[in-house]
Amino acid sequence: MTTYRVIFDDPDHLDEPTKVLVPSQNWLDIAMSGGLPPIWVYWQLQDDEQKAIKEGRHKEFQHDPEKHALQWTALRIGPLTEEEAMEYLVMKDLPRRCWAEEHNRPMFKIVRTEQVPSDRTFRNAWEMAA
Amino acid sequence: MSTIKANAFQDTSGRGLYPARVSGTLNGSSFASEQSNGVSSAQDNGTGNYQFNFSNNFSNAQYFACGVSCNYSATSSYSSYIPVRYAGGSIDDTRTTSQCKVGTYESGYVDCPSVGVLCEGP
Repeated sequence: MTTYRVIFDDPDHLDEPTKVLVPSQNWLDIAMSGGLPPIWVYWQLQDDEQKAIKEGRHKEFQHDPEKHALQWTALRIGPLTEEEAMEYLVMKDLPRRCWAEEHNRPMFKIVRTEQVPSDRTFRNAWEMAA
Repeated sequence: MSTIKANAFQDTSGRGLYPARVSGTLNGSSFASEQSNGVSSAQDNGTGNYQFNFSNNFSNAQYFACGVSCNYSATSSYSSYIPVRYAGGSIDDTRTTSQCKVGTYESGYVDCPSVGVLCEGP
């Protein structure tokens, strides 16, 4: 069972609490056995959907069948280490503005489980330490 | 008993069929992912506000989504919600082809001991 977590802030919503992402062990097993497509397969789907959202046609939006099928048909990238899989996951599941754009502080960190507080009493006050 | 094995399915026009089913459960009190299928990660966005990110995208955002949550409170009853185009209070009901939000809400978000989601679609 993985002990990695990703903590991150959304630069467009810095007033929101810091978010915590927990990888799925099933997905990590697939990544480490070489079952993932190249990351650009997901990026081009994200780009198309974001464009539809901006243009106000998300309800009618349908992915291009050929681009959509690439998730299963594209040549696999080969086995990743757990650390490489975590980096892939960051680029797939975090908003791109968190990691692809320059900010005056890091917007995400890959940490160990024990570095995430277990007491959730003040969960909405969590902030990422510098 | 026979076992059917296939690597690809097609519709009558020869287009590939990739029906997707996604399921996941998590412990909302300590935020631990318990079991998942078709989920790449689960996300804790704050108290009672969770998100499942899918391993593969659905072809559109109109997929069937069903969420469950459980809680016991002697003084109040909590409401569970899934993003089915209802946005009462400050509930965040946004969803895309790659993620679905689930939460527990009672005038404000509240943590819940167990949360699950099942999504199915093309």
